[in-house]
Amino acid sequence: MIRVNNGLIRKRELTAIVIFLYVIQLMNTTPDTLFKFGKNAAWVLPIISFAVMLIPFLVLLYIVKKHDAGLVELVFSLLGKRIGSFVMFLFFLIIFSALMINSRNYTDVFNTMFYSKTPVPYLYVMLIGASFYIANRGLENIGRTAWILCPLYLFVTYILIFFILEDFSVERIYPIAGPGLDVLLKKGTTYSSIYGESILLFALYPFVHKFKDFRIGVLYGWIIGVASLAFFMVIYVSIFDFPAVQDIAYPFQQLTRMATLGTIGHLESIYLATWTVASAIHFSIYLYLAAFFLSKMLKLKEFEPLLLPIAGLCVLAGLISPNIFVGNALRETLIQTSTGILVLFPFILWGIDRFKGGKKANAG
Amino acid sequence: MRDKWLIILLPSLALLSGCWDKIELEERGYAVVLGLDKSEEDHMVDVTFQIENPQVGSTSQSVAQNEPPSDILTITATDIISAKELANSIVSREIDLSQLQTIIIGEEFARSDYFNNIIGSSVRDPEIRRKMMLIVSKEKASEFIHSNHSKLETRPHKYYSFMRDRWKDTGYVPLSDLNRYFQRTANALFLVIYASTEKEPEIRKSSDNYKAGQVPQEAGDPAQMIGSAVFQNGKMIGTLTGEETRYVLLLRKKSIANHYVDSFKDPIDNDRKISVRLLKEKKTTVKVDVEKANPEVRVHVPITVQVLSSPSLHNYAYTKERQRMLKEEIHEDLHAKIMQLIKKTQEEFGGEPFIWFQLARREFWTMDAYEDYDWQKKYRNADIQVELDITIESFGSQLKPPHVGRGD
Repeated sequence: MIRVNNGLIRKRELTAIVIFLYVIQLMNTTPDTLFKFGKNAAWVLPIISFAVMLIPFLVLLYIVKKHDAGLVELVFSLLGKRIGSFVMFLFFLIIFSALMINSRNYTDVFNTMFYSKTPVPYLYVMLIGASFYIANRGLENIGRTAWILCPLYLFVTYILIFFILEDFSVERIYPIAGPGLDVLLKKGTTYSSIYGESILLFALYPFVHKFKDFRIGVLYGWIIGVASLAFFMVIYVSIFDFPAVQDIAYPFQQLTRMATLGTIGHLESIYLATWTVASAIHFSIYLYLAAFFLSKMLKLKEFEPLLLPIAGLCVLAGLISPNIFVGNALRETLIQTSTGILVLFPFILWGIDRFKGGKKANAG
Repeated sequence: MRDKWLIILLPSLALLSGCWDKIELEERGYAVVLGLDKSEEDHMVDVTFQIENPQVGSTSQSVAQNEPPSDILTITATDIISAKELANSIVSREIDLSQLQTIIIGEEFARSDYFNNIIGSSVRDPEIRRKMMLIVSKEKASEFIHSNHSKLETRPHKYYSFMRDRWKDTGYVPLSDLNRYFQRTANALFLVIYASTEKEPEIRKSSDNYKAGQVPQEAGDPAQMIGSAVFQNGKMIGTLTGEETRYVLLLRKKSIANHYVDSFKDPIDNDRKISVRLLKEKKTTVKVDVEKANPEVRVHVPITVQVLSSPSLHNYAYTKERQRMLKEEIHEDLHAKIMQLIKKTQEEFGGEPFIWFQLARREFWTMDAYEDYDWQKKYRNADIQVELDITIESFGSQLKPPHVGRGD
């Protein structure tokens, strides 16, 4: 089907974007962080986090439907210009620090697992450079790239299970409650902002064709992301067993190194390729969102010129952290602090909306 | 003008970026076997590398006619990675561990406290893969590697990869790789393939009650791989014979070795043996009850038997009575040996190699509760009952023993 290029994205492109936002988490250091608290039952954590994040998401969805406006427009109209700008700054900070910390972590994985002699700054520049190239072409392009590559990406990721089936034993996920139900619930809630991007994605609402496209697109991608992360964490425990799984730095990469197809080993090269492309798309979405929020805060009409400076700043700031353990600690702090903001924010908006709507009704 | 330079420089940035970690095939020396031995110095380890010569066994062999198929050297260093670095002061090619599949550990080193430190720290290096096969050699690993030259396989990596496949057919050795070591070392006994090139043959009546080095052999390849080394908490504590290893695999819920040939006393002619193939077609079911003071374990092993040969030439196939006799004999024999093995693990090793801990773990709600229960300790007093369910499936391709003077 030939469609007119109108700059809007549809359901499938949005789903693909969200898939690249979330499914990739099973390949980065998210499982490491979750295994630390969740022990052998850490696979429940993404599901709890999803459930917690879903409530503010639905609240925001309701407000957006009511006003038929994106997150940015809502914030400015409901909170006023000054507070609106501050909120934009807050969003920018959250997304930018996530971009900076996560991209640095990815670079470290590339460095440790594959290119140990290549300097980190160089790998970093290449990764962010590729993301910048994709982001610079606009949201529609990110969406289409994601849509084209997403079936292949999911296929390659999931087929890994068949390559490691010999070592698989599902009994290793027991005892089912792991560290105890209370710990799981508590940690699942505190870490729910591993899905915080779902709230920030509302900023893209004006670029989506229809409300229904937005709702279904985000939810589909999100659910695929949660299911994949939980599923792969079951796989990690079933293969490495507890407590060994807690000691492994990059379970997915280790898994690809164990994979064999009959007598053919060294399958990790295929996964390196897919993972590289996936991470470039992943960070292009972050870059795009960061530039978008910054431009709204500064009230600029165009935000594309901001992409390059943000990319450059990201590399410079990302290189400050000396290694991945510092990066992981930072990431945990970021997740915990942004959870509070992102979970509460939709309720604040909703409250103000109710209050203002009430006043308007009275006045009218 | 400046733009032109940029056009040339920018693509080269992308194209040449691989050169930092480039690998020239010509300059690589692929280590295919790694040996670890206790060093005379404290906190040091003797690392033996067997480096394969890629020219032997390939079309370019004519160029390198006088070169041996592999080169072996031993380096004393603090760990594997620094030994690798040091070895490059001797070897002309850069040593590459990416094709390494086998790690041989000398028994003396395996029994030392330092073993876990070396193995545990080695996995930090991404070149060490968790699928690498572990073998414990009775003698020093360096001696084992030096004397292990197979006649059928010129290239060492082929030898090990074939030998690894053989365990599935015989069940004489366990499947032991690094990943399994890390899985089990904290919870249970971990079994490693036991091998030796030193021979002290002992002829035994039971065809498989041997450890490596004991199999009566004349001529042939020097290395024997049979039996297993038992590890507990990252340290070797004992050995099992080939027969015991088979029973361990039989009692596991999921085992990948599902059939092997065994021999039993002929119930009519007691001096002779009957050879049968035992198949485990269904899974062993294990029930663990942790409610009582001493845990209860109930094991049910379904075994299918194929009679392969009976040198006594008695016909077991035709009468039900004889079939029952044979069945009872197999049952009694197996059951006694299995119970003896379980007793040995409880009293001698104080742990279980059957991976029942996974099933015990199921009974708990949280990890902390399981850890407080201390399965390894409780296992020592566990009440274990094994039930064998034997079915005789077939009697081979002969209806009757051949008629030579005496018929039946």
